[in-house]
Amino acid sequence: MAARVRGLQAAVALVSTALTAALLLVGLAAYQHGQAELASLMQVVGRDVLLLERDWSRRGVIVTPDFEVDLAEFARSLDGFERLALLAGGGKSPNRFSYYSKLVTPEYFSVRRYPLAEGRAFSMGERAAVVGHDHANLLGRRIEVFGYEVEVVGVLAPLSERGGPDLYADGTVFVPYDLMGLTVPMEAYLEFASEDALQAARPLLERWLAERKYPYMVQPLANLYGLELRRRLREVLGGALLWGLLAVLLAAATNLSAYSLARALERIRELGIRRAVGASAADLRREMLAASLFWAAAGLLLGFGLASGLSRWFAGETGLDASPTFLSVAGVGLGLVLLTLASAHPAARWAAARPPAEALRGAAASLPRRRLGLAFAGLALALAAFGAQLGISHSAQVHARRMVGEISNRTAIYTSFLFLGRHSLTDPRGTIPLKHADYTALLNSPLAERLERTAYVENYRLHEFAEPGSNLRVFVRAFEGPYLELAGPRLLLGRWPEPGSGEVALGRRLAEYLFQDLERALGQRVKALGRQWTVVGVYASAEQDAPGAPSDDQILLPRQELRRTLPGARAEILVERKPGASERVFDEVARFLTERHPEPGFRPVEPLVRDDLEPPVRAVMDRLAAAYRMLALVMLALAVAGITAQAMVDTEKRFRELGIRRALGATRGRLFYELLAPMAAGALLSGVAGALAGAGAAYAVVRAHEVTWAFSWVAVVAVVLAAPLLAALAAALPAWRAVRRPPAEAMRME
Amino acid sequence: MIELQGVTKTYRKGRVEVPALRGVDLCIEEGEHVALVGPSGAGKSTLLYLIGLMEEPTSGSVRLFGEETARLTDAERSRLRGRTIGFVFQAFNLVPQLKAWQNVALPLHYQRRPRREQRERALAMLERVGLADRAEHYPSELSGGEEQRVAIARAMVIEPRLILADEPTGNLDRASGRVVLELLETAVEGGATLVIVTHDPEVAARAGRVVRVVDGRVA
Repeated sequence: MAARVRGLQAAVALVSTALTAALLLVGLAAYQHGQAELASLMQVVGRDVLLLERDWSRRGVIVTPDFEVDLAEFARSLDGFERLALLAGGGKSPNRFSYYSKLVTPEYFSVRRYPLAEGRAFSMGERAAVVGHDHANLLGRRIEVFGYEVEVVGVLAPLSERGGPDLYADGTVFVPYDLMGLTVPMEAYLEFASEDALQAARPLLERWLAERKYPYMVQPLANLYGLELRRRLREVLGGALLWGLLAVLLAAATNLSAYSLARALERIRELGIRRAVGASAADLRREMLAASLFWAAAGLLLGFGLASGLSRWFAGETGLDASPTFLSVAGVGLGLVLLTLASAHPAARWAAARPPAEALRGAAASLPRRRLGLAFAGLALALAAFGAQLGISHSAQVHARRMVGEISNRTAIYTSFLFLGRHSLTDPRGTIPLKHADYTALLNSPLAERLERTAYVENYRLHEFAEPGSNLRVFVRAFEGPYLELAGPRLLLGRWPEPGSGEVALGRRLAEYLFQDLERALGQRVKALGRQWTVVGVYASAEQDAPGAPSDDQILLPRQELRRTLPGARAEILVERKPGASERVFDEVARFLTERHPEPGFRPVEPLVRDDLEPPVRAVMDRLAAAYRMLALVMLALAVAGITAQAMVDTEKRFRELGIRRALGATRGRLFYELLAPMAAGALLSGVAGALAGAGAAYAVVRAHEVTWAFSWVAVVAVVLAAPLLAALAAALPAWRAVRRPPAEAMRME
Repeated sequence: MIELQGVTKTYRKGRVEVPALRGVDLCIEEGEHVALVGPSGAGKSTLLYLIGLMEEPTSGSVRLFGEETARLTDAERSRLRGRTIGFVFQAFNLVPQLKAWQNVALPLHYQRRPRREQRERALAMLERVGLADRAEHYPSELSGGEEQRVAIARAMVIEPRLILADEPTGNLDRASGRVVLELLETAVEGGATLVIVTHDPEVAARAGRVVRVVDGRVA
């Protein structure tokens, strides 16, 4: 029995140490690989280019083409200046066949370190284009860009893997800066001989821009690279991994401490003998701490194996390489040594400090209580992780709802917008401009029988409200049909607008922006689409723009108010399939709508469903929650094993006493209850502590990721109730075996 | 050599204080062979442990080899114990994970002696107690008498000035007990002081002086 208990305790300590090692290894290795990737990226893109970017918060300031001449002249006066490259305009028309294009000077390619894979660069004044690698098949062909016919003379090497500002380079068509005549730069790049020259020039350039009141901002181009990588590193290392690591670190420390105490208790007489033959307390402490290093070595070995598997999963989930490196293994080894020393120290100190005579008598009265306390601390930690996982999942759900709105999984959206979540800029085909006629045709088609509800909404971009710095993208959404039910905005104040009465509802953010107070918005008049409207309601919905869903900076009104489609409309159709109808109906509707637009140059209409609209934050939170779920389960298993071991020790020590009680008339059931009750009571306290700690951890994680905090009663109740249940389950088997032992046999046991 | 003045020792068991020694005055000279006798619970073992620096008195003074022990740090007490005092217990108290020679060498290990010296001296001591052929055996492979002889070898390997034996023959048959006593007396002949706690009148009779402990006091 004693060997089995020791084995169980050792297994718990080993697994939790290995888990800590594995997470530490993955975290350190990911950080190291990330830094190395950043460093090599910087080598490729260089650190010697300054970027001047148009400052759109100073939209009203007019820039003339003289700026370019002024800038070139000033740049030449800067020490170490080498070259100037310019970029103007660019973009893509979403509802027609058009390439994503940019106007650039020939120097742009060398300043940005864009190597040519084939062909040549163009010169100013030439009707030519250089294309990104995705358009390699266009080489030698004549294409139309901004209404001008140009010949593709060069193809760039693949660049999008660099990320940052080069993310879309592979899908871009570059044409000469002066293709459309005089223009002003949106971006200017100044290349210097060295990073030092750049640093020296930066303040001079900023002063020059301020003096001349040119609306441009300055920053080193390298700052824009690796942002995505840094964000992922921060998200993953500062998020899931850090919090998870903290949890397993605490669990490992608890389990190692519990194991060390258990060993100290077992060895207490032996330690007394050693004291009797001359060992000092310091000698014993040293010996016990040295022995604890075994756990660091074993944990590292097992953790290394675990990390090798984990890093593959991690790379798949996050895109970050996390395969263990020599440095990470060395760092983690050192960390584990410190962890095991710190965990073993209290027990070593306690045991070594016992007076030798007391140790020889084997007295260690308070130790079992401490050990039980540690087992419950382990349970509380595991439950905290479990509770945090529930809390984070709940918050992630609420947050995702807030960001993209509440679209049911029986709903599909067909949009005229270019949606970069699904579409690529490389594809020059336009998005089919859906019309009201498409909607009515769908309603009159046999497909309508398989649809429960349908709605149509026209979107109009308004510039009236978009003041500098407001960051609002205000759209009017003119809807028809049960749009409000399908898209799911929640009415916060007032009522929904009625057709024919000039009424609108404002999104919460827009109402706050315009009237500071939501209450004050009701009854106000706002001007949009050339007429006045009365605000009758304020709604809350998605914070992010997404096809179909209204967001919090938009205006909702019934389409009947407009009587006809106005210029600039982009339409969307929402359909809800009947319960039981196959999802295939969504594709059939898409085909139906596509076939109504046979003109070439459009990509087929695609249904967008809820999963397509998930913002990255949801994916991150989901990943985080998945990582926590795994960790929480492992920690729960460890905690249950720890309590089982404790229960085995406890019952073993009470065999004789249990025999005496049986002899005095106690039933098995009564004794079983007496053994389980204190475990369950202690565990209930652990549950409360775990729930509080879990809620705190979930709150910290959620706030650290700037996600909506949503308190989950379910999580708290689940955690509190799970504790006694788990403890009772863990203690049940050893208790049952103890009470089944015949009284006479139990009484003979020492 | 050993001087106890007004020594008391009280144990606390929960809220209850249990006095084990109630003011002991005792003086033992170098080279003496003293037997501590008395009924169970009288405080004999506690007295032995106090002399052996295994615990500290609640009050009073314990002077050992002319030194006031209350002033010593834990490390100094351990050093003094490890280099000058040999313990022999009724329950042998060998470390079960160590072989016989390793048990004997344990005090030398804590004196930081070279490993080779530890082994040589341990083996020599085992030979003296007649257990050279059992050096590589673990305690669980030895008889009770052999275990106690290993324990005596361990006590004597440091050439102690003082041997404290707590009922060394209590767990042994008569023949083994006699061998053990003879071994201890050999040490006394070599100049060591022997303090032996015993219930056995025969063992007490072999001592030079018998000190009777009753109810926590020297009678």
